Amino acid sequence: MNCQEFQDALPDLLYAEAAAETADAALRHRETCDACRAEFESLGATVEALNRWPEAKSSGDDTTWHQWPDLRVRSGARLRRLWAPIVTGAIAAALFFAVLVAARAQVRVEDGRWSLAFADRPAPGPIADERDEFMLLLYQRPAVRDEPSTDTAAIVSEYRAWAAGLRDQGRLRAGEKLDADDGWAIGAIEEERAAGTESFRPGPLVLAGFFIVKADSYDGAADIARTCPHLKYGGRIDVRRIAKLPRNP
Amino acid sequence: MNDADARSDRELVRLAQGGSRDALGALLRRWNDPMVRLAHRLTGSPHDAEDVRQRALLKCHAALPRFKADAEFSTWLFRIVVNAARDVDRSRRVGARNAASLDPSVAHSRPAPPDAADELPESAAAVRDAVMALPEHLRSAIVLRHYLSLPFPAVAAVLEKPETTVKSHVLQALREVRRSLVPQHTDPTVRINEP
Repeated sequence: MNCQEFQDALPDLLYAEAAAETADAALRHRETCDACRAEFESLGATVEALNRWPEAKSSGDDTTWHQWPDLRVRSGARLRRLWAPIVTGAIAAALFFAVLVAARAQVRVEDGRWSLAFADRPAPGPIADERDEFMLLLYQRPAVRDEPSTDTAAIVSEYRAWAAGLRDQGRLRAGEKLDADDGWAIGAIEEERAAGTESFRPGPLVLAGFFIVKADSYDGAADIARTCPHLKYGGRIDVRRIAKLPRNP
Repeated sequence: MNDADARSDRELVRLAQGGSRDALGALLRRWNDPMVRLAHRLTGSPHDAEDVRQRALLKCHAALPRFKADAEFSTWLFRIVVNAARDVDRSRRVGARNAASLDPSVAHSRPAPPDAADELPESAAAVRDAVMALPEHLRSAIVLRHYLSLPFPAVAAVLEKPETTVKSHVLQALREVRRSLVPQHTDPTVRINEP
């Protein structure tokens, strides 16, 4: 088990829900990793501390439900049940004809048979009601990137929890951590580098990762970016709106 | 204990849906204490917890005829309580905002403690305040897992979220609580372990 796997198993370990194999592997990892052992002990103490808040006294047996109306389906409701299929059918038929009208369909009758013909469909317009997408580009200092932190797993968990929160709100489309290497630069720079005339050099910050989020405006995207744990660790986040290019015909 | 008390939840739900007040009574009596405990931990106040319980009972009564027997009654009931607590929390915030707009001095004053009547020792109050300071989604997850002792799959079912998300929220909640309880620049294990 490595640090990341240990962090992933932490909730199960703290609440004794981990499978025996996982618990054994975690125990062995704790014996060799000071950071994970400290995190486990500290969070274990927090779990214990939660018990200091005592149980509330029950408000007793509330018998008011004996005075509540009967739950059985009443006659009015039965009548509604009878009418429900008829009303539903009528609504479905109305919707069907509305769709036909919207599609500019024409009913043709030939030789006693009828058929539907549709007018040419107009070219598709832009899709409405879609929030803009923004790319959050996470930069950090190379020193931060290169120095392995003792609490790396905890930090990664923090980013993941933040991303999970955005995903739950339907605001996250993608996000990835980038490898801690220099990457490749493609284009004229390759020839310049070969000739020793390289004009573009990497800045003081390196790109460490990215998220693609949904927001109504730059303000909204910036608000999301400000909640990212990356800022806490001294990083910088650039926010760029993703261009909406015309679709292929 | 009468006949109704000996029946399973599923049986009682079926009888209650058929109009048995005894069955409904037995069902709600059985789950009354967990409801109160959940409401109290979510709101931090016995007074608000009673408000949440009343709302949840009304909602439960209104929605029980539509409850499908393929789900666990307790899961469904806890979800109603969590939603009721969210409603109470929201209405309290709106009330506070309205009060602040009418009286600017309110906007700059500290919020009242969860319940003045709920007198607790300092260390217990600190834990309660730390839990209440959590965002709603983290609080629901930690309360269901820690104070209701529901296993993670059951918490996920109540909150209708993936289990991995729930675990992540519980972990995040524990870290937030730790941060609230431990002053900066001190050894967390030492301070938290104090009696």
